[in-house]
Amino acid sequence: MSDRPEATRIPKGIRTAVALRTFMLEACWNNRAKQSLGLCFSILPALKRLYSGQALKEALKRHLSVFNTNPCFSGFIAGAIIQHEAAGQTDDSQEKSRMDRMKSMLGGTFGALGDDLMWFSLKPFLGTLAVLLFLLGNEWAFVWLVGIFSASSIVLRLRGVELGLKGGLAVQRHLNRIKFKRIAVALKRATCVLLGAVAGVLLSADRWSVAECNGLWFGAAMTVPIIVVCFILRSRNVSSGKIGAGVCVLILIGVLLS
Amino acid sequence: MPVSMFELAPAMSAVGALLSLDDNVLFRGMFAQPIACGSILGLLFGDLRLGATVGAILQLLWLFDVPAGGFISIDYTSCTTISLALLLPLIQSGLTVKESLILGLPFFVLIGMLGGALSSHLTKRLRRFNEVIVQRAVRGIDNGKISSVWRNNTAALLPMFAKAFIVILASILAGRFVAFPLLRFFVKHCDVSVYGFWVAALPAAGIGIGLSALREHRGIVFAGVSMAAALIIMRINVLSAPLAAGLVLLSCLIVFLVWRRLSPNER
Repeated sequence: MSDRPEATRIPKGIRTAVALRTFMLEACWNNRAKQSLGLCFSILPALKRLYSGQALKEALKRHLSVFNTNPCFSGFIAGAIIQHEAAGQTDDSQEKSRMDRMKSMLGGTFGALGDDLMWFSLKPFLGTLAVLLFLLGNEWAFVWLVGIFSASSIVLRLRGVELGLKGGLAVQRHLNRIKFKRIAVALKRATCVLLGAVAGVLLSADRWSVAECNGLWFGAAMTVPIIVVCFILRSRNVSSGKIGAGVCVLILIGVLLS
Repeated sequence: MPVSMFELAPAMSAVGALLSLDDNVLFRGMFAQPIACGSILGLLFGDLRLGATVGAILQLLWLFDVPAGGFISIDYTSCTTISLALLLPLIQSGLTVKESLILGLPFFVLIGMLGGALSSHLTKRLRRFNEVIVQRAVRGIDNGKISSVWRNNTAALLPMFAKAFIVILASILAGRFVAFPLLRFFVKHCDVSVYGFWVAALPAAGIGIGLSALREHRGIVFAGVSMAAALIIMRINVLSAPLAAGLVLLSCLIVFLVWRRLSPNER
């Protein structure tokens, strides 16, 4: 045990490989063990450095238990697990069950944080920004969405592995959760403002023919009620797909009747 | 040179299927989002503007649908690919872009949604099948084959790709034979050029859905303010397009800062 390299001495190449491998965390997502195989795949280079032979087999099987988190924040947990393994704290069964509990707790914490920040704040914000920029004449607007999101995802994974290796299973102490929450709130508000601007541009832009063909007030009289009705329907938990399908049918009926 | 449907459909299906992997199995870089998927397909198949238009229209509808964890929404990447793959030959057949968008897009989005729903259903099945793959990996580890971890994890991508490819291809071909005759009927009997506002109906629905999903206190009020600001700026004819765009973005920033100022401690 004592001849193991320390966690922080895991070479940069392996740390980077672990971070990049988390991009395949969900490749084999399944209902029973969720992302477990993806996690094993991610931390495999580090485990290979720490163990060999039977010990490596056992280490891999240890991490095939249920695991689920937000993929963008998975680097933190991967780093923490590697640190824990490297510190040699997984030998007795008590430690193993402690690690399982911690993994599940970290997965939950980072999952909730990541889902709120990345999926429900950053993604809608960038999506709306891309649509607005496109309406304003930028045909390459999608690059903003893909570029900023991918860059933040890569940074989070690389930095996450580093912080996880430093903090171990107490990695969440490194995070300023209040700050993340504030960022999420700010992004949601900015999305509201951008959605309003999209509505304004949509009503006035010639490209969409709303103002050009039918006059601004006519366009507004037709468009604003759709916004309001869809707002109410979504508030009553009608799915986006059903609302979209309903609007498509409405358009076809409208065109046919007119 | 116009490309035939039978050349276009497999190529677009392959790219669409590849992009759809980004959504719930690989990378997660937002390449699967409608505006990115539409733009990339448009870029590859010769009409970036049309691709981005279709993507922008559909993006707002699925702004808050994220396949996080076990949740699977309608496969919007498939829907975007199917809609665009059907629109391109429609425009090649002689309809203007505006007519194609007004008449064709609702049809194709409906077909795309059916394809997307089927794709999502199959994803659920494949996730059950993934349990078998994990068990195979465990057996491999037991037998001392450590490479079975990466081999099985990577192998799980193949059925996902095949599923998306087949669903998209089948939907495009079905749409071609079902929707095109109906569209010809529509084109004969409707003067679509005067009903331009219908193009805005789908994005308008997306705005309503987005504002509701955000659940932000006073969100509607500030969205209304930014809408009015954008509307006024865009209606000033003397402004050049880049200047108007800059002013719209600036007005958004000002509205956002005012909102922050008015409620600094709100969580």
